[in-house]
Amino acid sequence: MKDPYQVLGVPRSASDEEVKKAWRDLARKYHPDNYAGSAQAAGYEEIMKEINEAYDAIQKERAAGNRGGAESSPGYSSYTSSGTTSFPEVRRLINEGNYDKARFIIESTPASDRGAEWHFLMGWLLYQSGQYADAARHFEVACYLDPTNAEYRNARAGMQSQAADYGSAYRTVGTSGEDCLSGDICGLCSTLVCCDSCCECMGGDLIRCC
Amino acid sequence: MYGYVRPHIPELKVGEYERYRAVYCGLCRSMGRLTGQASRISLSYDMTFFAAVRMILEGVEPHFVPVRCPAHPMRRRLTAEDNPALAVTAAVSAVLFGEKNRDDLRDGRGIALLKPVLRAPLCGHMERRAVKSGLLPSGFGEEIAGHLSRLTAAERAGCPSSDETAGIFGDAMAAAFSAGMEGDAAKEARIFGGAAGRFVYLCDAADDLPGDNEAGRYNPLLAGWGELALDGGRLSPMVRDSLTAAVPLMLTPMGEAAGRLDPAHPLTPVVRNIVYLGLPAVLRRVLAGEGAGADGKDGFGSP
Repeated sequence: MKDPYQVLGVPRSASDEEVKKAWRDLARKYHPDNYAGSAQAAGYEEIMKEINEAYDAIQKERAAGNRGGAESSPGYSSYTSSGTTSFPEVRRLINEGNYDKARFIIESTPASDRGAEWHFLMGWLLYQSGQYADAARHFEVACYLDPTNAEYRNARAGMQSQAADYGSAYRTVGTSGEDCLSGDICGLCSTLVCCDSCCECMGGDLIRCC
Repeated sequence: MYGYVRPHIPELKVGEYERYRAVYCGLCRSMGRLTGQASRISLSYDMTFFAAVRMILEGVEPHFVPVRCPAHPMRRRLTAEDNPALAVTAAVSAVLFGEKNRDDLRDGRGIALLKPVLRAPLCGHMERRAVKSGLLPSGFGEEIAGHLSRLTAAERAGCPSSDETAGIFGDAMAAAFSAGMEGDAAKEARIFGGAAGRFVYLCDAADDLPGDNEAGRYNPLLAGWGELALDGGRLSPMVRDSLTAAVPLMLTPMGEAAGRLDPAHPLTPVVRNIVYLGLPAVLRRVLAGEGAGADGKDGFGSP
């Protein structure tokens, strides 16, 4: 196996925070989702696997005591590994639509346990209650803490695509008064001709003279 | 007010732009008449939007006349003649301006106090004339002051939820927009006011973020995001992305309300332009660190 420090491009003396930052940057850059559908997607999956393995190896090595180092990210707790669910009860309550109880459990979680998943679930609950600015913040932080998690990225992308639709009504609402029935005389005539043709197809006749 | 609620001028038809400008000028004249000439300094794009929405919801048909004024002495400009909607907007504007000045007096330190101190007598005069006009419902000033003091308390407590603080400001604007209205019109006006207030508050927070950080002042985004709010002294990409996603969703009720406006009213296209295009354009500029947009920057000059 390659030297994990080399893979992440950091020296052995790098702090935990520097290692995490290097891993995050690489994960953002090489995440297969960024290349979905392209021929290189499989190659990037391999690279991503290597990056994750290198990060895990350094984490394990440091946890085993080869080198100490405390997390230094005030305000945000450490990375929660993707794939493990720390809040099954909250997820169950959200699925059942019991948002109040889910919110209570989430809000009473001690600050030390508030990892990526906590931010994701908090964002989800806030989104449900229409607190969009705070929801978007929590989704962003969840993705920041765990950039490889597809669930968090999808939640963020969902909000972004909903937001992108805003303003499209300008064209439809703004031009609603110019449809065939209330527009110019040409529009009116062609509408009548169309209606007449349809009537004739059905055996009737709307305008006798044509 | 702040000037964040403005149209996206390149997408306005010439006639729509003329009408918008006429409402802007008409509001300025109404302010001069109702609350004194000096009160014209409280004129803003936000209040022009307010006046246009009020005219549509109350079914007030504006009459436009060419008028010469001290600001434009050379050429007569199309101006909306005084009407009840413009008069109420002028009165509300005076009260909001007075409340904002009181807020600046409370929070200001050192040289920042100079402006509000000098303005205080003018604000008192404006507010007295607005109240004496009888256009505002009784207790209106107290209601606005109540919302703003709630906001001050949340800000002093370092509230990390920008939805909460923006919501309180939205409540104040909802009360201002719907002042003196009843029934469905009041309900619609509250939707416009609430969303516009939230929008203005968040834009102001994003605009002031670097300055507030340096000065150590409260800022809702700083309180929520902590060290992730800034990146090299500017708004971090994460804050930009989150507001780009959240603000349009927050504006959606107002977008729906704009779709319900009377399509035959001459100001409806301008209001829809502001709601659907103007606000997203302002948000983009604010998040890019360019401010709400200097007059004339878009090549079309100020109204």
